[in-house]
Amino acid sequence: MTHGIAMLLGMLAMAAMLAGAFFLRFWRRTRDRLFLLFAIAFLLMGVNWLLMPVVGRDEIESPLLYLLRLIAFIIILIGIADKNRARPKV
Amino acid sequence: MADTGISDRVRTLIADQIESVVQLEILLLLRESSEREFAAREVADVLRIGPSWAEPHLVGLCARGMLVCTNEAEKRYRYQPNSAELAAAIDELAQCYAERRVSVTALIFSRPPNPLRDFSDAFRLRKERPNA
Amino acid sequence: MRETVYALCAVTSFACAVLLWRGYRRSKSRFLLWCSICFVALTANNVTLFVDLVLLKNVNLLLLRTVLALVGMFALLYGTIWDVDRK
Repeated sequence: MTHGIAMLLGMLAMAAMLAGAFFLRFWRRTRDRLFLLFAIAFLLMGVNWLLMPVVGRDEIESPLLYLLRLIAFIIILIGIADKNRARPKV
Repeated sequence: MADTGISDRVRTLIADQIESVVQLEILLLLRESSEREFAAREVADVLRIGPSWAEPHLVGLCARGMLVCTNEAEKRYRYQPNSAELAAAIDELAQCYAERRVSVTALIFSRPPNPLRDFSDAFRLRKERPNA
Repeated sequence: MRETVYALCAVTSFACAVLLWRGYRRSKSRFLLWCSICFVALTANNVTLFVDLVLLKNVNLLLLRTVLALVGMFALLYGTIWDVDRK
């Protein structure tokens, strides 16, 4: 992995974590669980992109990275599903 | 809005959760008879709106934590806010609406743009229809 | 297995892009425009990842994928900073 790409991945990681932080702030402001879930998803993607230059591999080669991405997107799907269910009887 | 008789709590509730007068009427109808379960058809009959209008609002109010769906198969709903805080805010809103209907209605129509609310609403798959 | 996962990721990000675009058309909120662009870029990122894994064995599209994701994240951050006002 070249230095150039490693730097871009670092920028990506930083951007994703910043986005995650913003979404956490939105969650605090609105108390809407959707924002919490998006925050977690972006933070996971940030970790994903952070680890790529650290371990020197990308998602094609590393199962851990593919797992992180999977979890991030599953969390987004959970968020969307959660937003749309009619609450069952407590 | 010159009317200072409406508390911040009610204003916030309207800004964040109340999309239309129809939706508010449905919510207050279920609140009035909170021991009872309603189906979309019954709500539509009482309020004299089309039944296809009532259902999305009922689902939406459920998703906002104000109603519960007591019977998934038959789609019956009952008033049950998911927190004491929310219940108190709705109570205050109900009283406000009873005393100052025009001001509350005007507040609903003049909701300021709220990007976070719009983001959240974008992920609601079944849209509540706004006022005619 | 991995192919399925990356395909799922692509579909999910595409769904987000569509929902946010619809929301933008409905509400005219510029924040949603930027979010939608972000998820379009992430979809492109996921699709490229899928293509990289499944179709192209001797070429590595890491640079392309990274740039696509970066475009998406910049769009999201721009929208978040400029188009979400303090209440």
